[in-house]
Amino acid sequence: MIETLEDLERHLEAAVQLELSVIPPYLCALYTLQPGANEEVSQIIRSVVVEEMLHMILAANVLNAVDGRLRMTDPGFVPTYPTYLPDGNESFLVHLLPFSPEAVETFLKIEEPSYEPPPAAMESLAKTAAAKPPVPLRLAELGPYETVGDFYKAIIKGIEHLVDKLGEREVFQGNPERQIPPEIYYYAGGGQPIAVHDLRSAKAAMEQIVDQGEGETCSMYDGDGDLAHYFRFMEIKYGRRYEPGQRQGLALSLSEVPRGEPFPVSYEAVYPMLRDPRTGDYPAGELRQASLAVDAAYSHLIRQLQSAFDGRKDLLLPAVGTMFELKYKALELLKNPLPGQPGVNAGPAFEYVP
Amino acid sequence: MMEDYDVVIVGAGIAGAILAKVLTQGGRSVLLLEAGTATAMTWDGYLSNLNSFYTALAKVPESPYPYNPDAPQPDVLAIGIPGSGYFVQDGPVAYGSTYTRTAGGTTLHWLGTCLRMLPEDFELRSRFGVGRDWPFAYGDLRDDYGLAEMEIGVAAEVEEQEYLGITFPKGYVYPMHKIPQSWSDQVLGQVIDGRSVDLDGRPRELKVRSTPQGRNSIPNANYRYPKGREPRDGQDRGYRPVGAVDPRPRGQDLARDLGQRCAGNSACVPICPIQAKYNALKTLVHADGDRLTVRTQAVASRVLADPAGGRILGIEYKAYESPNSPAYTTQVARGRVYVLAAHAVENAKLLLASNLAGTSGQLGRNLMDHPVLLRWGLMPEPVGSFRGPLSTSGIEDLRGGEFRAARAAFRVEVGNDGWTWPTGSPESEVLQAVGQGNLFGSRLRAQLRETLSRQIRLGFLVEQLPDPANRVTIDPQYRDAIGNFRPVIQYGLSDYTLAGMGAGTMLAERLFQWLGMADRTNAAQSLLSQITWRNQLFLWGGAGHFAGTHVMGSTPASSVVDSWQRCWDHENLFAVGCGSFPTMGTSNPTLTLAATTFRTARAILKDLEAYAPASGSAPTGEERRP
Repeated sequence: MIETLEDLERHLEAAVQLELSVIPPYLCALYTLQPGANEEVSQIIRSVVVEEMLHMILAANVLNAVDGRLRMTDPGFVPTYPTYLPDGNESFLVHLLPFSPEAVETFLKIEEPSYEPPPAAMESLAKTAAAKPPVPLRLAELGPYETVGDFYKAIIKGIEHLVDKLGEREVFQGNPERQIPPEIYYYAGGGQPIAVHDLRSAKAAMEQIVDQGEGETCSMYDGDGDLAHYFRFMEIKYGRRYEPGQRQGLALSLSEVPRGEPFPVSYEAVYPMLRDPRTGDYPAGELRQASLAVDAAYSHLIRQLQSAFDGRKDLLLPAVGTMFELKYKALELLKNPLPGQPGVNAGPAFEYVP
Repeated sequence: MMEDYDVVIVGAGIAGAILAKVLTQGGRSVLLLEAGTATAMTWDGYLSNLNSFYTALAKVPESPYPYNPDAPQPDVLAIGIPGSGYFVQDGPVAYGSTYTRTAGGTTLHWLGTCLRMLPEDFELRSRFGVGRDWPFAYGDLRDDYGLAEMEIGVAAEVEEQEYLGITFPKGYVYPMHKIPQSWSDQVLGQVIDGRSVDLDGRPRELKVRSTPQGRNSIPNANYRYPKGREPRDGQDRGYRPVGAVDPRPRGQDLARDLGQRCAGNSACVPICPIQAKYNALKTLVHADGDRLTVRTQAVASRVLADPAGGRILGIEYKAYESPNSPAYTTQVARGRVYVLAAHAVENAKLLLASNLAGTSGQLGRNLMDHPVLLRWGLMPEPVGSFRGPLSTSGIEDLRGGEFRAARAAFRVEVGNDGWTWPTGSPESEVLQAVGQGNLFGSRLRAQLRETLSRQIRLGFLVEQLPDPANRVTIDPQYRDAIGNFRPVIQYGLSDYTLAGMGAGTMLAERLFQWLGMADRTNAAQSLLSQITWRNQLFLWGGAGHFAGTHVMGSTPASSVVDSWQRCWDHENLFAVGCGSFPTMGTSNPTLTLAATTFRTARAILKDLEAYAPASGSAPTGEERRP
């Protein structure tokens, strides 16, 4: 329960951390797709990643609106993989994996809507979780929340509660200069940043995150008619689009299988990336250097984001350039077979180096 | 085959697409005939175009769009090679530009520059005593420019685009904020902005100005859709960018998520890999599908007229089964109103082949382009060449002025693509470094990093006046695989234009000096066309800006079409596109083409009121007011 402004800030900081945590696993799936196949898979994953970046901005805007401070460069903020998600849900671990059925199942788990218990098939995944990894920053004090949606809904409730208790003015004391407005960042048709300065805009920002992830209340779609992330991954799992007819339904079952046009999904046209790569595990030399280069680009990106959320909004667009650099450097690793491990290629570790 | 449509349109490029959209949304039935295929209309088709580009050895504008002998297109690689290619080049110089014959037209490979013409560009004859006047003024086209900017989705800031008399309605904003200027633009701007040049007795202050572009950027929240043009959600505030196209249900999600924002892939010409750059298919897929029939692989071969009154009775076309086979059947499309929107050259060719629209004697004449003088050099420091859209800025301050009585105006396009155009860089640099420099490994990489990132190319787009001797004709001995005419082109550069190149050369030398940029302009390293004027050698190429072949004017004696682009000789036939331009000024013509098309769409809707009223939903107020 969120009882104090401090609780709220902790939750919001964890929200930014949550959005950041899911980006590297999605990027691993995306970057391991070899050219010339999986075109639709690539577009679907990309469309989700782009919206996760937007969600990070929305969460940061709410945090800044309540005059909280983000500390992305503090030790422990950037997760190492495997990791639990920072919403306190310790029922499953998130790994860095190449595009694979296991990766898709994890993504479904991440984006799982909260209005129905998950199908049994997905539960088994949680059971296989390895020994407990180090717990990321602050998450142990939160929740636990069953789903990401529950977590955000708790934040919305918390904001409402605090506004009731303290008054809107007292809650929203942040400097408006620290907001990322839609004029600064636009990358997809899925939505836009919302500058947050009161209860209404804060709720709108939080609801946009929930809607895009799991659909509007009891629908597969968000307010713009975009398929929610969970259902986009269902399309990949089954290699089919949802039919236009299926699109109308309310309160669809989570196990609703897409019945529309098929599209090709290949788990073979994929760089066989090492599971959960760590820079320190690579032998000294070219591979280690290449991994350090990815870490350096990722760390630069984190610092740019931290500054952008700290009032230097002019640094947000250049951060997009850094993402291109990150991609090219990650691809260099992914094309490299690991010495002594036939059939396994190197991959990006996404480690933060201060 | 007898079919009856309200309107039959030839050509699924930008003009045809705008007409198809406006007319079907206005309740009219439309048959759209496209000579080529519609490959790029679906996402997998577009990817096949992209793969053709990736695997092509020469990344020329045509490389993504396979050659189709049944609807052949000009090819950059054939220019200047006698007897080669689709054009029959009859001199004295080779026409240097190309276009694409497939649904989407040349907008598939255009750069996306969306400059408005200057008010004085419409009045060249009355103000400077040269060229021709347009039959209407800038002010008459201003709102249509707004519609064109909406349709294309132009990214720019009004405050930067008000110069040399260009005005905007009060409170107007472009649909999207400007595309960020490249780092090299900024470096050049730091040196050039605020400096003056005096090329003809009057100093002019220069500025490296952001170029309005048809590529998706950050939408402007203050943008207001014109009345009756709101997107489906009915909200008129805030522009909604249009991403990739795929009319199939399964393509819809892709379309929403892809191409919503330019990501600086630096392949705008010949193909934007993510469709963040506008192409005409984005317009076409928003036509009312219930009222639109698109027939591809249907090459219009003859316009059929009633010999007595000149009314058009039908369009004869050759429908071919496959681009790989010359087999075809001849069919006739019938409607009430006919529109040729097939390209300046193809429109003229078709009318010549039909022996129509000939009263003024101007048909096929006045062919223009923007001959582009190219200069290139090496900056003293790396400036991040080869990044971003291929051009994000220009120098526009010399587009207008009294000097136009004596010599051509020009604009300067500042390239972000290094020396790609003049020398084939970076591939040529790699070949040279490996082949002659014997470099490899880290030394090769260092050398390429050192030189490529310093390459700057300036393009001087020089105005060309309408000259009746520059023309498209047909000759029975030159035909394509299915018996249609190949265009025969006579073309030259006048002293007026060459004097403009001379002035451009003076400016280039000044700029190089200011920037400390080493001039590397070199005929031996380039496949560009060459022309000598007063002992100066100019290296130049075409801009792809075909215009003037069915000139618009205020009398039937001096022009082919009237101010609505209606053929003077045929009341139910319109010839639209750049072919109607009396003059082209110095602006890349697509935006003006789109604006004039909106104007024509109003005239056609008005004409059609004489027939049965529009079916279904009422057209919007805007469209009903011609």
